[in-house]
Amino acid sequence: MGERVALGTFPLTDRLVFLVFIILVAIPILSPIGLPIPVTDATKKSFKLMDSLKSGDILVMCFEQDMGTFYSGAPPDEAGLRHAFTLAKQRGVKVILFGTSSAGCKVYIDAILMDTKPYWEPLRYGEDWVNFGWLPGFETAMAGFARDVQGTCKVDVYGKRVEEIPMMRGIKTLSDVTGIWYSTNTNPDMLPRQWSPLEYKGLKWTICQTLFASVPWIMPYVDKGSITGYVADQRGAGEYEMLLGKLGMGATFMDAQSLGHLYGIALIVMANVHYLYTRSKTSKSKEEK
Amino acid sequence: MALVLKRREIPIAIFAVVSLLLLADYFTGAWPDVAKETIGWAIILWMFSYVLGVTSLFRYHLTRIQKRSQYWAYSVVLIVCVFVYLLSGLLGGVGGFSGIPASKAFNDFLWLNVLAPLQTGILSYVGFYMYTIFFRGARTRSWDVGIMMIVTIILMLNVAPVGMALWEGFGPLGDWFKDVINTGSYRGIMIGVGVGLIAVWVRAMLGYERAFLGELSRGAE
Amino acid sequence: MEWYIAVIEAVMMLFAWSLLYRENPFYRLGEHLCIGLYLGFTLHMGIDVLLKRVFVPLATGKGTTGLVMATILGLLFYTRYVKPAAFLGRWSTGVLMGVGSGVAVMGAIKPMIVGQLEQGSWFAPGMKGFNNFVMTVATASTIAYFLFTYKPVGWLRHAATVGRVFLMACFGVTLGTFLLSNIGFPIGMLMKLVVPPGVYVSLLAVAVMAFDVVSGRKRPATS
Repeated sequence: MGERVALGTFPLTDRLVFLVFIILVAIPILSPIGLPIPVTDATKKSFKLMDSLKSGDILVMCFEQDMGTFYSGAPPDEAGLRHAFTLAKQRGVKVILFGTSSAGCKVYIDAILMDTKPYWEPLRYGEDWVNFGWLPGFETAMAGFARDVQGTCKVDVYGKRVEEIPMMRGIKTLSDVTGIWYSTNTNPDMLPRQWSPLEYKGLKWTICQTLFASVPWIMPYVDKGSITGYVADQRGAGEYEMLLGKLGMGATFMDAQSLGHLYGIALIVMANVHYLYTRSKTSKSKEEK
Repeated sequence: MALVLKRREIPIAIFAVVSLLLLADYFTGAWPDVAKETIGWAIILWMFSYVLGVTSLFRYHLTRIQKRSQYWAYSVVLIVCVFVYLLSGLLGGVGGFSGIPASKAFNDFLWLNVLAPLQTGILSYVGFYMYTIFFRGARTRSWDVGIMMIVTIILMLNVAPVGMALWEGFGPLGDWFKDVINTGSYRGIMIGVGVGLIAVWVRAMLGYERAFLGELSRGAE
Repeated sequence: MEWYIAVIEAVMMLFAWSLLYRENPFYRLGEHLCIGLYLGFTLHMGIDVLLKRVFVPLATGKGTTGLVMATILGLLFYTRYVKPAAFLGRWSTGVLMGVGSGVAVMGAIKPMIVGQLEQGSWFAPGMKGFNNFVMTVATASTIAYFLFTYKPVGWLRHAATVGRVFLMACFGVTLGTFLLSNIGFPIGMLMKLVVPPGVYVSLLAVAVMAFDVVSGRKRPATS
């Protein structure tokens, strides 16, 4: 009988850790626990900002996302889109969509539009909302949009020239835009650097939708008003959906997130208990020697 | 003449002139149309440069196939995928022109139902690695690491709904750490990053940082 | 959604996740599929935007002089494949990097540096004043910690120690918030892998893994 061959990349204990995580997280997906999601002040503020839009106001939704981060970025973005299209239908708010990161943001926008189709289908494309797809250039595209909207946008995702799109007439610079929903999975620094309400008189507010891991990074900007509000990750999505009154992807994820977090805390405690135990054993054996 | 044109000082000078032009317009508002036009040019240059990165990876896999390296068959799969996606995309409609609907549907299937799950799957490793970090690395070896671990646990219970269900205090306590302690420290880091950004820009203008030209920086030679 | 599309999605996800078990042909296939499709996607999107925003306007007479100049500069990027003319590509790189740097530096001055130096009053009513004081101490001590120009002796050393305490608390906040973002990705995928029809693909994957574990026990030891 041969000995056991060492199996591949990860040690056995790591793979057991992964397996326990998968089982723990699968349980609330199959049988939801239904823990209440307290709505934080940050999400309430962002919701109020979006809800403050009036007839004729211009809302820009810029997506610096990719399909890799779909399950973190899409829930809050879909909640924001649902709200935006509802406002477009009820109050005549104009919605401009585009992405500035890699080409992946174009398919990300297509994917979230697929999920929110009932909300934009009744609207008139070109008069109530427009999709410019991918504007290449990251921060350079954002700087270009701030100074010259028509020159930067040029053509929409279908190839129609910006001069032929009725709602784009009269939108020349960022000062003609009322609010911005900026969704990013990488670097949130570009939003306060290029599109700050403190720099452009007509721009009333900006909301940053970002990974929860980036929230500590944007807090100094939020504190100074360079970013007005934020909605973060799946947690923010769950809260935003509660405020919209229609639960979606975000709320479903939070039960699994709760168990995942408890598991992480258990691992930290176990690791430290084991470490302290082995350290005291080592120091005892050193004393005996 | 040709030797003069090949000198590395010319692209560095172009870099310096363009960035100083934008900064001068920002502070004085002297030539907004020139600044707008320059930014417009950069967006177009971005589009041309985007395709460049693909060619080096392409050449690498073609070399692997030629040399019959280990797992060269997978490189064949890769090259075939490139052409299948590109062809279906071009036939499905490109540049604002409409194409064959069946080709577009196949192209949409490839990015939504094949590429997207693969990308999500590969990126999701980070989630698993977080647990190995906790399991192997989260050991309180000193007092400062202990502070970090305690704050980590408080924030984890602040962020997950179960924390507030266990004790309501995790909400305000976690928010205080996030809004006050974290904001103060990140402010210091941000000032450092901002100053560093300007420092690197000045070094690039003076020719010390030449990585963007594909050369080693002065001092690293 | 059609059942076969859900099955294909589940298969692709499990190809990617199979690396967590061990390196295997399914993972390698998934990895190369992913890179190949993404390269094709990049090329397709690049050609799409170039046609829409550059070549079609030029061909239909709607291009400006600026567009022509930018196109010439953009085409210079491809001279890197022609050795005698490769230096021309660096001019275009100079323009691109110059604009990128200029735009970033312009934006960095106010929000990242000047804006962050302003601080609220320590004597504001209630907790606000205390919080402003704590934030000032945190900012100053963090800058003292990262000040490598001077040797950390005397008051600078004490300030750096205080800064270290604040930084560790700050990293604790970051680590605590990191988990929610990063486990969001596998949670989203599990939503498709534990419900039919994805669950049948998952069970098949478990069976393949179990077979591999059992056959691994029977293999002779390698030296």
